[in-house]
Amino acid sequence: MKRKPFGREGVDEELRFHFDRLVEDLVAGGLGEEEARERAARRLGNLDEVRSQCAAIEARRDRVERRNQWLSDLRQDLWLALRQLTHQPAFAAGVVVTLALGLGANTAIFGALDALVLHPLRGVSAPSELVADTGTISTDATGGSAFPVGDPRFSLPAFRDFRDQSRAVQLAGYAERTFAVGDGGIASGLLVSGNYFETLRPPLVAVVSHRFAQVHPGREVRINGVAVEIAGVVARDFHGTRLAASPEVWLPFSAFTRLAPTSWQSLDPEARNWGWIAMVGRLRPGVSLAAAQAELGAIASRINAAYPGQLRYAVRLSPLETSAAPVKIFAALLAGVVLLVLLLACANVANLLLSRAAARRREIALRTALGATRSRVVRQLLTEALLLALCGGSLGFLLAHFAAQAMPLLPLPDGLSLPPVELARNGRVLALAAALSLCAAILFGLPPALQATRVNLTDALKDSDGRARSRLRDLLLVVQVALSVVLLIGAGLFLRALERGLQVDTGFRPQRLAYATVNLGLAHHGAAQALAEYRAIEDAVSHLPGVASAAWATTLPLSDSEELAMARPEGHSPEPGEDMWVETLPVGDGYLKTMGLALLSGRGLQPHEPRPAMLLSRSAARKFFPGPGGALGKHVVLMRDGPSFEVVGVVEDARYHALEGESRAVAYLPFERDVSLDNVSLLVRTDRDPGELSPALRAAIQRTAPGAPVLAAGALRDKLADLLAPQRLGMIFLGAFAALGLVLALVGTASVTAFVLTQRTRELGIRLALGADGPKLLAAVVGQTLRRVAIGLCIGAAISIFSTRGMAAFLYGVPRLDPLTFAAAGLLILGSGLAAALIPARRILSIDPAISLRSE
Amino acid sequence: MARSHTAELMQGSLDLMVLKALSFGPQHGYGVARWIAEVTGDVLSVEEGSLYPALHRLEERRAVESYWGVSENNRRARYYELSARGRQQLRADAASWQRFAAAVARVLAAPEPAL
Repeated sequence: MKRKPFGREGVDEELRFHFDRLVEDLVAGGLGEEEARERAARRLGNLDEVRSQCAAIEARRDRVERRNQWLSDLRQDLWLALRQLTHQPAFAAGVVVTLALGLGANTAIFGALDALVLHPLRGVSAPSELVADTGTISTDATGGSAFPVGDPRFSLPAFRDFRDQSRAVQLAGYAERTFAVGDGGIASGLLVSGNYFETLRPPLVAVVSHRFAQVHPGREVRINGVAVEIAGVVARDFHGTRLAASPEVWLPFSAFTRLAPTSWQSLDPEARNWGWIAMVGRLRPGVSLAAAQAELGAIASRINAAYPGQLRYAVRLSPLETSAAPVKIFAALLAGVVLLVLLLACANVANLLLSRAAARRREIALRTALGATRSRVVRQLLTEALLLALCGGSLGFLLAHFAAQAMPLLPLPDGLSLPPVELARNGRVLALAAALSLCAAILFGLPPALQATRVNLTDALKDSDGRARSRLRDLLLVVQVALSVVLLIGAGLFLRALERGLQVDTGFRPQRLAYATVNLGLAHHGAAQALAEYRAIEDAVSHLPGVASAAWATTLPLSDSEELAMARPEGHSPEPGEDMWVETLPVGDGYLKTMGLALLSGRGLQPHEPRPAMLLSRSAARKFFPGPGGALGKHVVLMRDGPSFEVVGVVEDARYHALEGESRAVAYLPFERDVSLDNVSLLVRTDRDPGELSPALRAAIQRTAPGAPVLAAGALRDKLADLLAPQRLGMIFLGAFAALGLVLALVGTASVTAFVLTQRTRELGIRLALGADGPKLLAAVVGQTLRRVAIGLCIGAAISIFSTRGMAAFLYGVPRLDPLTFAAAGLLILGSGLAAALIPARRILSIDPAISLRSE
Repeated sequence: MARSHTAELMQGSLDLMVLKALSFGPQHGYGVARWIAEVTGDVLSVEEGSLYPALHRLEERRAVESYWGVSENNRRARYYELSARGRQQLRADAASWQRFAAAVARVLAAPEPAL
């Protein structure tokens, strides 16, 4: 029941009525007018208070009733909306699926970014207090340049100095190591300082990861052949402090000596010139980053002064939780793209709603005529949009959940693995999904609702379409096409970059190379024994069928590990700040032949060099010996107090670690010069498919050196693919979104054409009846739609000129305005747009003029 | 003193009396006040203004409904009408009030106990 509020005036009137009647009655009872008024006022009491009490009650009632009205309206709207949608299941399903794709993509991407970029430190207490050190180390041996490393390494004694002297930061150290587990198993792990867990505070501190505990049940496990008790299991989420690294075992620094395989035994963990510890810290309560930085800087200066000739430290603290700039750019790019997809989906749904609104105008006009206000009708239409968005959002969340579970399947560079992302337990993701659904509902629901209700009553009842409505529909189509074009061009550029990257001249020929990485040190073979076994393996593999040649290298080409040394070439005094770092690569004597590296001058390395000999890469030779005499026969010292190597040959430059930029200077040393013989890789040139050689390689290694841990085996071209992971990831993401966008745009194109057709059925019928040519009319209608597509194409291409700027760093020299990509995207859009317009437009050819004229 | 005691007693039972007054048919506030004054012999006719908050509260609780009508002397007046819910409340409240009053009466009539 609708009730008019009585309000304050109502209360006044009521009280006045009472007063007047009382006076009347009193006068009738024989009192004088004046006296009667006085008596009446007394009997009524304090009128002001009565009035305000009544007004307060009225106001309260009003509020309650408005709320009830609102709720009952909502119930009614929902009921109506539900009926509308169930009457048109195909339309509803189309809209829900479209929205689910858009919203699901956003939910999945945000969930992934939330876990990996916004909150990368899972399972750690108060991560905002954690700091990492991004400073530099240098050796002052040559006075040479400092080189920055992402994860600076401190010597163990220096780490202890920092830890013990700092009052501002609780400092913990760790070092990444690989361990042999049980028989022939491998696990990545961390050696950590005693206060590591105390500093990071993961819940339930212990020693092995959750997954490890499941694979190795029991209280004891053999690590590097030594039985180690499992003290406990860390929380499932905890993965240390490095993104995308997932250690499985944590052991104290003290385990270094006890667990040391042969390959470590030449290393002194206590040496001040060996920096192998990374530091993380937790700011003590109330300490600012700047204060901590200042304190650690002072400690570093003290250490540098106390131990001249050893590693020198410069410390720079930054919050551990902030991600690196490229990661942020990538994240922003991804978020932008996925939002674009959502916009596209919204535009499409708005378009569908618009074309349906035309059919509903009679209904809306009827409701308006029956007294519903415009806001009431808009609300009804928005409720419908909201219902659609909620269905789409829920379905989308389901899709996103499965997508996030599949995250570990993404192609990432070697050694990195993404944990599966849990969406359902993340409140932030749920909230964002809900908020996006709401925004989407307003975005796609409001314009058609406003359109549909902006009607002139008589006009609508006559059933004519407004010009503004079709303009809006055209605009939405143009926007959709433009967005698809932007995505398509992005994906296309990444595809071209991938193709280009695979063809980059690395200096060697990776196509027919297989590799196997072996670590005899982990199996506790002595150094001399290990070297003999390595040689035996090399020999055995060289004689395998299908193998042309084989050679060891201490670092695997195209991987991200490298050994650096500060070179001191004979007769070359480096200027201050001159880069004298050189990559040292001990290799077997068949290395050049196996890799296909060209020898430019001199000779290659021999099996047993009588004196220390080395090969230099072309750029190293030019850098160290720029004089006319060249490098041949000159000497280079690589380590302090180390031997002086004679340069016996110069080799073509090779790209071992990056496909862009300058080639690093490389010094090739005889294999036996490697002190550790840790994680060495056998490179094998074959005339077969190198990927299929792995089992034969593993078998040959086991035959020659039984029990030798083989850490990895495969085709070297896969390593090349790893280097191109950003491009591949970009192509997968943009490609998926572009496909999604294209499908949406095509649906839009088809629906617009179908709508135009419905609008013009009568006119077309007349023209056909008057003898017009069917195919010509068809071309005219399709042309009308294609013009919109072409406009969208131009706008999209124009946007791409700007939007591709962020990609330039990933393109390996493909111009970001690559004509081939732009042309291909244009042709694809126009071609598929033509197809999408033709499908509904074909109906023109089967229009029967008689029927179409009767349809109105 | 006596008057204010009466007023307090009245406050607690005002709702009940208003509901009773309206049980004979729709009535405006003045009519309700007159009826109560007549029935009680003017004992409870003080501060008639406090009747109106009571009426509005009853309306808020949906015990009565109100509308604008025309009074006996042709003036616009706000009429109150007992709702189904109000009728129910009247029955329940009247019963418990009578039980209470009877109990109080028995206490007051009791002779001095023989110890």
